[in-house]
Amino acid sequence: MMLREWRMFAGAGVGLPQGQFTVHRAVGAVIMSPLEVAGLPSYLALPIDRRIAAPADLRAFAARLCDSLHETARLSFEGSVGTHEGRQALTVDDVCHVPLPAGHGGPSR
Amino acid sequence: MARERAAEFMHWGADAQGSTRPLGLMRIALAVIVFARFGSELSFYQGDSPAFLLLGAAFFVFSTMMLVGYMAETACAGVAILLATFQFHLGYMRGFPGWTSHHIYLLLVSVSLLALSPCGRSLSLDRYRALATAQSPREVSPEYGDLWTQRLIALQLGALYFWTAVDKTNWHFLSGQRLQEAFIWSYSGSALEPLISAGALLPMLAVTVVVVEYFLAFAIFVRRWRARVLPIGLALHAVFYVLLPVSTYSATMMVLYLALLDPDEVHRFIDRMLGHDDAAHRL
Repeated sequence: MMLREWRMFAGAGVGLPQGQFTVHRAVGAVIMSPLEVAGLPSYLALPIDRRIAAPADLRAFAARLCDSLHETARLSFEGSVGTHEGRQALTVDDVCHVPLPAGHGGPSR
Repeated sequence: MARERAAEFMHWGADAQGSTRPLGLMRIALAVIVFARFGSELSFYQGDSPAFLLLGAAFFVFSTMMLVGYMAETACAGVAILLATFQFHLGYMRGFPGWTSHHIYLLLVSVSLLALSPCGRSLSLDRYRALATAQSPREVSPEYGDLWTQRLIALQLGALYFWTAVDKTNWHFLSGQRLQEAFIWSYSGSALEPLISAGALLPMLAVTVVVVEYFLAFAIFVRRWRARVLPIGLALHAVFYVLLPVSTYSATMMVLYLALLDPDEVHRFIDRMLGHDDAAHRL
């Protein structure tokens, strides 16, 4: 155990989005940063369970905005998400209504 | 030749003896670090159950005993058991955020080894009380003892540097991607956000870190290099501390560098600093 493999910062940045969210409304589009959408000053304040492991997790990440969004508005995301294999491009057209993977009946978290 | 090398290694390791002052200094500094890391989270106003309050009370009692050196080895054993409880029960099993971290594991291993060492023979209330009640100073245990635990702490440092470098020896780290992810985590929304897209700087930083860590894994054990190698290691940890949210990790590593120093030189240095040059010749 004392000579175990030493992994540091292995999870830093994993599950964190980088890019831009766009709120599409009848009066026009509004671009927001991921931190603005999450309502956080920094990713250091983001709880582990709000990190993104699958596209459906964006719903939980943006829950604050999705819950207050008008029915006719839509939230999209374009950018990348950190994974253990590097950053993966991610584009989601309707964040608040991402289809859940098979076997997930309830909310994304 | 091999037998001579084995004998030298045993003399350096399992049979090592010397001044216990570095162990005393490590005990005091690690107690302060443990306080700084957990004191706020275990204060009574945070307690949501009688069990948590009891854990907090045990933490403050044992860590204070460790700090002042009262029943020093027992106190270190108590703190080590508590740290194991924090990491494995509360961290891994109950999911307390951050309590599974590598820097808590490092504290746990170091304090466990201190518990097996004569760390109470120097700079401790135990020694003060023994001197106060003894008829003659000769009745008191000298500041001298077995140092195999100090050698194990030194080996832990070497293992840490080696395995963290192995973990980083892959394209994702060396290309700067993992460093970029660490910076996204740390700097998004801050004044240093441009660091996230620092281009060629990220792979350069990544390669430098890996090279320095492989170098330190072995160089810290080469006595004639030590005067140059230790400042490099201290600088590396200072940079980690100001660039990344490493919590108590950098401070712990800097304190553990005491395990790499010649204990008798540390003893004589403290004597010289206190103006006890005569005493310095006793070792």
